[in-house]
Amino acid sequence: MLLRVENLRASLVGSEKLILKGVNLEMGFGEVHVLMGPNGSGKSTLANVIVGNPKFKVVSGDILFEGESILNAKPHERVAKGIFMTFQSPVEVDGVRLKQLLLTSYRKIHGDDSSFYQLEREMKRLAEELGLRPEFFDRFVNVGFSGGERKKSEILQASFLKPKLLILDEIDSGLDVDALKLVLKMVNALREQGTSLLIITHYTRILEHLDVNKVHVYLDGKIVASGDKWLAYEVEKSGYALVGER
Amino acid sequence: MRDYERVLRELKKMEEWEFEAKARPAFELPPGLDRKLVLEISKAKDEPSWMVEHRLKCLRIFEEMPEPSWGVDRSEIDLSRIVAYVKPGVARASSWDEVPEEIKRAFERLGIPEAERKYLAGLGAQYDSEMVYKNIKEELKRLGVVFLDMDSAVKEHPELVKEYFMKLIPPTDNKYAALHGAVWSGGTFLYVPKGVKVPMPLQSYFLFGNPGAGQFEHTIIVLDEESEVTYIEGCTAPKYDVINLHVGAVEVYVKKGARLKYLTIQNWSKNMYNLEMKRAIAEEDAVVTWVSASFGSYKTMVYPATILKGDNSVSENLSLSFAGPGQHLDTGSKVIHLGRNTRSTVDAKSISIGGGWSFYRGLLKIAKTAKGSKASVSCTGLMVDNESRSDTVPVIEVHNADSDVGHEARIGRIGDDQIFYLMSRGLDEFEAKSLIIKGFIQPIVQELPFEYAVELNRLIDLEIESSIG
Amino acid sequence: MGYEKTLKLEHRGMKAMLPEVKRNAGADLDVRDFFPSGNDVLDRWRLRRFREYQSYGFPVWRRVGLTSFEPPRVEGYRGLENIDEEGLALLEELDFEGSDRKFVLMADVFSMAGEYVVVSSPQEKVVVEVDQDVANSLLDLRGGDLTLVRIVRRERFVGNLRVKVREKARFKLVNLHLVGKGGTSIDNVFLDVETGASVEVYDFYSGGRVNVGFLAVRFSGEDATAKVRPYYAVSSGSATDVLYQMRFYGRRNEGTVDSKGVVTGESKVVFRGVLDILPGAKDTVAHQRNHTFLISGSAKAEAIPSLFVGENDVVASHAHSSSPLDETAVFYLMTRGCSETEARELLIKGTFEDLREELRNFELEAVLDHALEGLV
Repeated sequence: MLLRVENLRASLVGSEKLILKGVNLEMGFGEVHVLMGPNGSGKSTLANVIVGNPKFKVVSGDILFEGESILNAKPHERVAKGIFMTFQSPVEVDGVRLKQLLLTSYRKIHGDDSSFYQLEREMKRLAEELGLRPEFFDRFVNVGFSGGERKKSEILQASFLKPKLLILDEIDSGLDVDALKLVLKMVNALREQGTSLLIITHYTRILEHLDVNKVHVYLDGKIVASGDKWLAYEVEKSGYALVGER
Repeated sequence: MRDYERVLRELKKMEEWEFEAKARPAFELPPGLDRKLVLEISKAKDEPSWMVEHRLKCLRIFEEMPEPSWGVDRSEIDLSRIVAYVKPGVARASSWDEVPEEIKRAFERLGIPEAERKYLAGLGAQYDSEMVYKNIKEELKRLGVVFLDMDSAVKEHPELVKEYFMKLIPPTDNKYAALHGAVWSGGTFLYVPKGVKVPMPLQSYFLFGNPGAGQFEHTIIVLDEESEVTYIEGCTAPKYDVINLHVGAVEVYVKKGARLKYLTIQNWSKNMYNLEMKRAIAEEDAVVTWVSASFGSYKTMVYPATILKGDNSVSENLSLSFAGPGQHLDTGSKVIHLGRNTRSTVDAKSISIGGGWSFYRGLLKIAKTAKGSKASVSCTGLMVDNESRSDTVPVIEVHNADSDVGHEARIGRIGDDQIFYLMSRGLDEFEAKSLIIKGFIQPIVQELPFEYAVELNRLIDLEIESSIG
Repeated sequence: MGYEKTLKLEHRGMKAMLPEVKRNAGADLDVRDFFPSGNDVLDRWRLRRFREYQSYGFPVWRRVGLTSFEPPRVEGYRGLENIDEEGLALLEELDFEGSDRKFVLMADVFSMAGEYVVVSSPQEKVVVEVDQDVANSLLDLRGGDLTLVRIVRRERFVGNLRVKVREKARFKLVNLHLVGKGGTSIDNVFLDVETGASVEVYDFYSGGRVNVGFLAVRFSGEDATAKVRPYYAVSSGSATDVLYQMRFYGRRNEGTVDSKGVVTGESKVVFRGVLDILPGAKDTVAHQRNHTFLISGSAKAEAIPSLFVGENDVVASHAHSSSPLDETAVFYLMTRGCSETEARELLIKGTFEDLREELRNFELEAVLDHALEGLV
């Protein structure tokens, strides 16, 4: 089992109100899972708690990665273990160049196994695949990036750093048809290389581009239903609440 | 409460922006402004001895303190004229004839009837409001609210008054505070008991104390825990008075969880020096909102100040200053964050027109103890024409790394394209400018009770008309 | 002829009162420290200045804790020895108050380094390291493109730099103030920008116990631009006080001051801005911005960003803000594998990234890196 989330309950630090009310989730190696749920339900919170965002606190429950609890691991320690997340609206980091960040991160996760030259070449290749120019790497992280550029930058980072588990928070929102194609192509490439994917989304269109092992419906702080891709289509047709009731 | 002394002492220690004046020649009291006069004032009011002592102490301090070395040019203030004014028993401007033309015209245009005009010109009691006040009086009595003119409060609630009188604005604060302390007269005392939420806004002109005693009025407002009140100072009609100096003081004590909204519309006649001291201290979870609109006076110096002493307390400061021909308005705000997780916002708008000079002066201080505080200040200056001037000088001191502070100011003019657009909808140039200016001040106007909002808009029209011509 | 005052507060016959600076009478430079330069015309000018110098005591600057000033040791005169009548006229034209008249005069009278340079049409970059405690230079840029990198790396320093940027000339100044620990540095820079000229400044402050800077841009013509970028890295008990003045006389000039920096330890930054738009300076665009990152508990930031506008046909703004490092950005970097310390370091260094880019052109990044060491 790659990831096991056990009865996870979590809230914002400083608040009593629970956002995650007992989430249970299991992901095997190399699997692709989709998490669907209404806006504001806390899907992003689940993702953030798995990567260790200090804004949230775990009230009870556990998160096990490759059999070990990661509750006490700091965010960068979780990255080193192989967990990576692409953010929906990543923050601007002025003064830090994308290239600099990528090289630093890579070295931390994978050590010195590749030369500087090899890494640069890889970055260039990924940029080309996404339709980005090489100058993109000299820009400050997310500063002045359009919505599409931000999403591409996030997936580029993921591809470059090769995590074991990749959490994609609404990677498909705000992208035009062409950009989405490129991004999903890269997502697929990662999957082929063995990365497990947890995809958080509203839309079913992603299912047309990916083979999905499981679809989960998230409602009111819990996962209320799990099934195959037909579950997703049913949700689209009947709405979350109805599906949740069953 | 010794508490306030301690807080003020701490503030003085932190006050690094205090400018020391050069050693000046010993200040001489103008003829007549002496112990004898102060005792006469006190005797005429039949004050308790602690107040008499206080006045004399203030006079001594006034004599010793140097003139503040910043602000508007005050060289034209003639202190000897105060004497004639504050001396009890002296007849004041006794007839409508003595009121300047511009004031009379303004009253007419604002549609204020003859009787009201007399009161507002400081000449007599207000007849209409007497009825209104009677009803309010009963409601307030039922709630346990103490709402009196200051002179009466000194005699009827001495312990209560003594606890707060000039504790937040001590005579040593500055020379004018000392002067005020020596010759003050009139003003309001308002005490709201625990948990009481006063249902209607209270206005100072409900209280007819000494007519025309508004020159050196002293107002104290005390909100006990969890209480709420909206207080309105003055009214929109222009105030005319014999001498040209107004040194008022307002001290506000907002206890735990209480909320105060203090509205002022200042419209002193254009020959007045308006120097006001307004200060509030907020305890835990308290909220203080200052809303001020300054139109009148020749020169004004007013900086409503809030000391956010208690944790989680909040200060909001909305102000509008309108400097027309010949006016120099030096206004602003002061916020001092002492408690943790305190919040403050300042939204200052100024309009300069027809040669007026609008000067925003602010102080925002985040003390070392004010962890987790957030403050934001926004100043916008609108210069309607090319004759005027608009300046902002904010001082921001952040002594705490765990705080978020932002300040911004913009100064500019009414866009030609905006005017053109409105004119293409059928308005003439005056109407277009007037509409834009009113839109500019909208956030302030919407805070005022309806009658004030209406009068304010009318005032703006008057001012614009006389400045643009 | 009067000199360019820092603050002018008056309008149509009305005056505002300005606070007077408190001054100390104490040990000071005197006639024995006045060394002749060999240039009579210059020395007569210096003597006049000396008389004015003697009329002031040293200012007491409370915000930075400068309560007394130990005058430097003067061992001879060097600076504007080769100046001619034309140069002297220019000096008078570019006379200014600076952070305090006393120090501008000190550098004028007692400098031990400096130059008077007239350049007609250069296309060059020059790197200069000031090698004395008191320096005074005058630069007359008559055209072309000049980049000057000026490094002040002293234990103590008092200096002036006046630059006349004539019509259509382009001037870039990279001004590095790297003061030794415990030292005092007071630098006054005055730039007069004529029609069509353009100016770019990178102004960096680090070190010292009292590090004071003043940089003024006077737009005496039209259609000129000035972009000033101040940076400060304040640590180890330092108090850094910087004043940026832009005064707009002519029309259609554009001036921006875009400042940022980091304060840590028991240190403090005081940022003063004076944007002064005089009546008649139509279509001026003037913006001033400052952001201070307060890194540690006892770091302090004070700012007085003032805006003086006497002309309504303009666009003018200022903004000042201070905050700790953005926690969301720290977390984001951690989700990319950086430890918390590494993340903070990246963000702090990132604040100065544009400056580093500029310094790369002169292979001087190491100077910046050295100054940023130990800031986290």
